[in-house]
Parts: sequence; structure tokens; C-alpha cells
Amino acid sequence: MARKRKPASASSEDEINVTPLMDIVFIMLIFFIVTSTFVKEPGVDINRPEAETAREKKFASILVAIDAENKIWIDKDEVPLEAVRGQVEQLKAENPKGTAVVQVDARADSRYLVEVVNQVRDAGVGDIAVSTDPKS
Amino acid sequence: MRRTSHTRATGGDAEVNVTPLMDIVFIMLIFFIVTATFTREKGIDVRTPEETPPDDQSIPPPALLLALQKDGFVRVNNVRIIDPLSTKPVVEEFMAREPKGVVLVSAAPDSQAGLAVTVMDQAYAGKAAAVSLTLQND
Repeated sequence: MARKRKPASASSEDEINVTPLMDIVFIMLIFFIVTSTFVKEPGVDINRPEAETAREKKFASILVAIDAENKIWIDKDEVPLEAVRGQVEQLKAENPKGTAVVQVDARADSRYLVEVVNQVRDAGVGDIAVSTDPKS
Repeated sequence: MRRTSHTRATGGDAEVNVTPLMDIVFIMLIFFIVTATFTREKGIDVRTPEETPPDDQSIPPPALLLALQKDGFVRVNNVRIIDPLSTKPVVEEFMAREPKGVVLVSAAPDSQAGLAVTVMDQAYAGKAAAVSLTLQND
């Protein structure tokens, strides 16, 4: 309404005030930049064991999965047990502050869980956790 | 240059053309939205002892040994066998007796990892300060 009364506008098309839009977009952009962590998911479906004392693991960037057939997965690749340490060292170099989470299937053997945790610890990661589901 | 020649500008302030800026910002926003992965992992801490010499299976004085057998039952201090889901009261009783005690979960190599996690969870629920996970080497 107010615009129409102005006989000589700055340009031929009517301009919309984009400042509030830009404010929101910038805030969203900063939020996503800050919260984005480039996590390499193992990419296998894991039937996690249930636990009641589980705590939220923040900055979990090193993910190792052990599926029900005792196969070990890192970054969507199957990894032999001996190679876990090298792979974890690479992931740790990419994200030095990240902690490690081992996603172990409830039907996997304990041998693999302990061996993988040992290798992750040997790679220099101090904070290692086993991923669990909340008790239903 | 062109703007200043307008004698009757719409606003008092000179406006900057923000369209290219907005293009870049939108592209970055879309990139970060698409690549954002929110990993919400919940887990329990697991610790393994640094070195396990062969004679380490003997019980150090203030330690509770929970040996997870292949059949899924838990042998407590090599004397009695209980169900994994009933280890919490055992650990509570042990921690009341030995406040500085440590709980050692010793899993058989071919036992189910889910049960080992359950035993560790029960130990933490029983107020255990330190829970270690090892393998039985028999």
C-alpha cells in the first residue's frame, strides 16, 4: 500500500526487506556449522544390548561396529581385527578430541568386544564406551 | 553510482545489494543441513586392564570377580553361579563391604557380548566405582 503511493521507486521491481530473513538464515547457518561433526558411521545394523546406567556420549566421532557374525565395520568397510588399530588412529587424527564408541551386537562374542576395545585403547583413545539401548 | 543519481530514494539509507551474499549463505546453509548428522550415542564406559599376565586370574584383595561363562551364567568369585540379571545385589553388597573395591568382569571368549555388557551395566547400577572387562584365557 505504502509502496504504491511512491511514484519513483529505486528500481523497476519492488524490493522486499530481506534483513530479518538474513538474520534467521545466518543464525541457522552458524548453528549447523557449530553442531556439524563429520562422523563416519559404520553403516551396519546393530542390535544393541540394553543397559540402564548408560550415559550420553558426546563428541563420539570414532565408531566401530561389531555385528552378529563377529565382523568388524569401520566407515562402511569390513575391517580385519588386526587392522582396527590403524583405522582408529586415522579417525583419531581427523578428530583428535573425539571419543570412541564400540557398537557391539548383543549376539557377538565377547572375545571380539575385548579385542576391539584393546586395539582402540592402543590407538591412543582414552574414552571408550559400548553403545547401548535404553532399557525398554 | 546509479543509485546516487536518484533524487527521490525510497529510504534514507543507501541499500547494498545482498542477493549474491544470500545465495552463498543459502548454499552453505543447505550444505551444512544436508551433511549434519546428529549422533546421539548412549553408552557405558568400558575399561580393559593394560596388561594381563597369565597369573592375573588370581583375585587381588579388594576385587569382585564376575566370570561370565559360555553358558551365560555368572560365576561370582569362583564360588557360586548366578544369573547375569541378578548381579546388581551382589555388587551392591560387595561395594558396601569394600568401598574401594573394583569389579572385574571376566568374560569367556565365546560368551555373548550382550551379556558381558549386561553384567557391566548391573555392576555400575550396583554403585561400582571401577569396572574392568577382561577375557578368560583358559
